[in-house]
Amino acid sequence: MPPIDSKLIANLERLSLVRFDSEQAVANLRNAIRVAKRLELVDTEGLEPMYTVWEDQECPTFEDIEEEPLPIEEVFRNAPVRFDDFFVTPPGNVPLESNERFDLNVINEWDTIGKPVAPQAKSTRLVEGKEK
Amino acid sequence: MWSYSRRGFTSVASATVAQHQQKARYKPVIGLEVHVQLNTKTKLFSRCPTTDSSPNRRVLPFDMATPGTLPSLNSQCIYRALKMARLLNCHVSEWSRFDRKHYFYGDMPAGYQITQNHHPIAKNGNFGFWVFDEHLDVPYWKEVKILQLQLEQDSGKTIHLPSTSSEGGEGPKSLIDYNRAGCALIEIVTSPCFETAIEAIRFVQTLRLLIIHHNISNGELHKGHLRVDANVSLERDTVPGTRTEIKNMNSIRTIHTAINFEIARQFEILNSNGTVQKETRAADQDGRTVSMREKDDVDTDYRFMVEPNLPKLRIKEEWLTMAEEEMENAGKADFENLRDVIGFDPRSSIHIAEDPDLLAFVKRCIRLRDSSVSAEEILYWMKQLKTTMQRSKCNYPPQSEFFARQFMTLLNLVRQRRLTHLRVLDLLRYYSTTSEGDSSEGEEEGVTEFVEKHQLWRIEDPREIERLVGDMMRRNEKLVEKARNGNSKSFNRLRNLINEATEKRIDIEELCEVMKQFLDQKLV
Repeated sequence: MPPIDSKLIANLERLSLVRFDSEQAVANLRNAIRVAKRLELVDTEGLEPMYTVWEDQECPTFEDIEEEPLPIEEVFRNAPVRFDDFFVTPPGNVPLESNERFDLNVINEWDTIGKPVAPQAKSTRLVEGKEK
Repeated sequence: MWSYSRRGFTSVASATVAQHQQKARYKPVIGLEVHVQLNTKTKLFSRCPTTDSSPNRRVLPFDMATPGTLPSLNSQCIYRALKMARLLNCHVSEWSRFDRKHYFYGDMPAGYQITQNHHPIAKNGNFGFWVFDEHLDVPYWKEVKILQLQLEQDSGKTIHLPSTSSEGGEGPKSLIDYNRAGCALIEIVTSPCFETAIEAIRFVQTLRLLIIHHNISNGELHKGHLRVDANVSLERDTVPGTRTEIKNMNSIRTIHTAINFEIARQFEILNSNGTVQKETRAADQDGRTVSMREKDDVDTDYRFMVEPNLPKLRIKEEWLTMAEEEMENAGKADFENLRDVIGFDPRSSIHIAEDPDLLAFVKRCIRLRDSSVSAEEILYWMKQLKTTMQRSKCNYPPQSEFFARQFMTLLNLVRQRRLTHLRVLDLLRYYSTTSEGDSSEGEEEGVTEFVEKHQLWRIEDPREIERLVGDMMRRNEKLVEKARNGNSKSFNRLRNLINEATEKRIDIEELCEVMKQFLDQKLV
């Protein structure tokens, strides 16, 4: 089981846009990966991956015939913010700060620690904001 | 350092690269990704109409990634993709599949784009086209390899608003219009076989005309029907360089300037022993490339996975046959006709075909022509016509059938030497500035009648010419004396006087010849 480093955590947060809130969250993930890794024990040499049970089904095609588009009020029914006839979003492609927030040792050695809940990090300087 | 003009980039790029060619051999390596927006009535996976409209009025639940909606593949899109595959001589696999490409952006409502990555609709093609340029003496034919052709969804449109600086101002935000989201695109991926920016734009120009001719896309670059991304690197002594990607160049000019700018920029870096960063760049309005995104530590991971809502697509034989037939019936595109049948050079063929008014004019002329009239002659007189019309501040080219007929008549008459060159220019000016008026066809006086009425035929009899010239010379003793003494201004003045007096009916070269004979007193 390869160790989880801060680069990997940053990458996962960037790809999923989900923040890990503590060492425990990361440790849970690591555990889940270890369980899933058991699939690698199955020998799939020379086999095509199966993407659907209905392997011989062909993609249905449809005629190029127009339908009535949604009325504009329907389009905006669930939009929290609207500017004239546009949806509003915060600007994209803002790089996510990847400050080091976790004690990696705790995460990576958790299985050897054997506790159901991850212990508090011993060193205070790595924990966001709090002074021990 | 750089002169900020388009010509500046091109000349700097080619000059600096050429000058260093002895020390280290640098070769630009360019690959293109062309996105073609299909002109089907509805979108790729939903039956929402694709006509232009105000924002967010061309949206169905699937286009907005509403939970619970499923994609329904448009058969016309497959058909157009098959036509494109044939145009690019690609191999069409029997089975093809759709994939999801994940990334987060406001204009991609599902968080992924449905595209074809691993099993595209067509692969391994080739495409040939002429490369021509004012710097090239002789145009040459280039064949490029097409790696693959894939069907994919378009994203919506984003408008970026910067922060407002007023009191209590808001931060920057993006406005999204989903009209375009879900429209069908074909992405054409070429191998990195282009070596100059000129080759890249000739490829795009030729491809565009063919796509329009075969009704695959409307091909209007300024409307975004055709979008080009370029991957540019510099190979140094056969060692491959780092690639940068220039995204979303929307006009032929921008593509040309931006690629040249990028080549020059990379050359500067490599020449001062720096390293080129692998990054994505955008082209600004002057054609410079600017860095677009922050440098990624890792390559973006798109987490490609098979689109589970779409079974494998089987390409039916009858679709291929139908596509083949339709393309056969469409025949040659206009520029191909001009080039292969009429005999225009590659540059003029493309140039004429790209301008609808010019094309209409040339087609009229060709229809009215005598089969011995060559393309070069037509081009030569079109050039004269253009200069004349620009001087008279009229719109070139003229659009009436009547004018085209007079133009071709003039062309014939000048070949037969029944009219002088200068007289023809005069008549061109007369007809191009008057024939666009309101008078109806039947009442217009044609060239032949006009010339006959005003007796403007070229004087062919050499004795007549000598008589007229002698006459004028005797009446302008002083000028003749000055000209005889070698004063060229007087000679020209005399020549112009005679020309005017004889109503430009003497061929100017013959006139000068006879005048010289008089001046040398070989004639009296």
